[in-house]
Amino acid sequence: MPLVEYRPEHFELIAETGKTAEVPALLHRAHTDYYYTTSPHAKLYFSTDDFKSVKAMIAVEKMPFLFGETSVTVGFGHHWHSLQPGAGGLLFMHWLKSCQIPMEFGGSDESHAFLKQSRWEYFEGMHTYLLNPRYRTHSGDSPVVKLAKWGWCKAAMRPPLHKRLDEIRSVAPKGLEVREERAYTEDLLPRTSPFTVRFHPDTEYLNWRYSLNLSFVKYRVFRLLLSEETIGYVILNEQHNRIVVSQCDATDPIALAYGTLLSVAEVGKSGTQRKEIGLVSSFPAMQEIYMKFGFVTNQRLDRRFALGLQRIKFDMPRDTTQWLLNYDWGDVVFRPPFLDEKEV
Amino acid sequence: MTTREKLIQCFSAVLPTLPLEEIPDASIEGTDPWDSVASVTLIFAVEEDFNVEIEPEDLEGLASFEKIYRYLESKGI
Repeated sequence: MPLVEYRPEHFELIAETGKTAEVPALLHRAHTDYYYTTSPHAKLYFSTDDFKSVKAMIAVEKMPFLFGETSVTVGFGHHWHSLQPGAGGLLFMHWLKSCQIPMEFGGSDESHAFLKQSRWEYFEGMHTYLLNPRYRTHSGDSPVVKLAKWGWCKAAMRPPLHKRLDEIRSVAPKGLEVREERAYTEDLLPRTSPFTVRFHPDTEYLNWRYSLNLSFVKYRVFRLLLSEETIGYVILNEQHNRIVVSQCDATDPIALAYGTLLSVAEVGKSGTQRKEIGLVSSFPAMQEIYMKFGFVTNQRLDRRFALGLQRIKFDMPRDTTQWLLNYDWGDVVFRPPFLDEKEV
Repeated sequence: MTTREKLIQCFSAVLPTLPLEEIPDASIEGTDPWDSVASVTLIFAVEEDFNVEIEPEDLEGLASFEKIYRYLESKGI
């Protein structure tokens, strides 16, 4: 059962598999080719005998993390589908063996059933927060559920952050400023950190994963300055009708939370429409700041977070209230409609 | 106990419903109880029982009893 690493010439086959396995992101050529073929950090693998059909596939983004002082390669697995019994197991093992700690953040009920059988460890406390959530319904929602969702969105509606700049500045650390940058540079990266677990990319990784020059997704990066000294950065993903706090890091969690609000406000200034803002946090002091400015959360928004820790040989910090989590890891925001597609 | 006998024992523990005489012919494609969970359990069991670390690039070749047996042989086991 040959295992093949995706290359652009396999697009038609993978797009066909994307249709069968209901993974619409794989039907978008610019995204698929960029994400899986332009760096060593993310690869899509599939097994096939004849290049006419795919038996199983999996994608893994290898992300550099710091767990305490220990550098660890975390493998963010996604698009794991077995189209023939047994075939997915070998690809799953490939995922486990291609990194030090495999991670699932989100994922289907089916994959979590498998991870539970494989004795992965689940972590709690990481919540998704939304400001001005969009009204979303699913085909199976009853009229009562639809009404409840509408009511929840309506009740959660707040003025956009760019209209609350004075309020944010009045409670933010004195001297905190944000400045949009045109490139990722070394000095943006925090050298010390209050967080015990965090994604720790270098500028080469950021320039690839959160490239400021992609056709299908728009990233913007902001420098965080405290009394004119750089303390970190915030990367935002600006979409048709929402803004996602993709990745951020700083030497101080409070300044980071307010810096995130200020960065979102900067992006909001240029638009006419009130956009939904999404972010993830497990750090209580940051969560409190977000909620104070109108961000809401509920269990249905949260994504399950699991790590395969069977093989680690160090004491890892397990208290998630000290971790720095971010929204846009792995393939999480790479969903249609992409920026170069029509909004649906 | 020979490597082949030990591998049959390993398969039998992971796929208990598979008759012993069918184990040497077992493969992912032709053996019902060999599903994704069994694949993972089997690889872990082989690594533990034969004290071998299987490299990611070798996994694709391990889709049948015979192939796993030949892999172990190639490792001098």
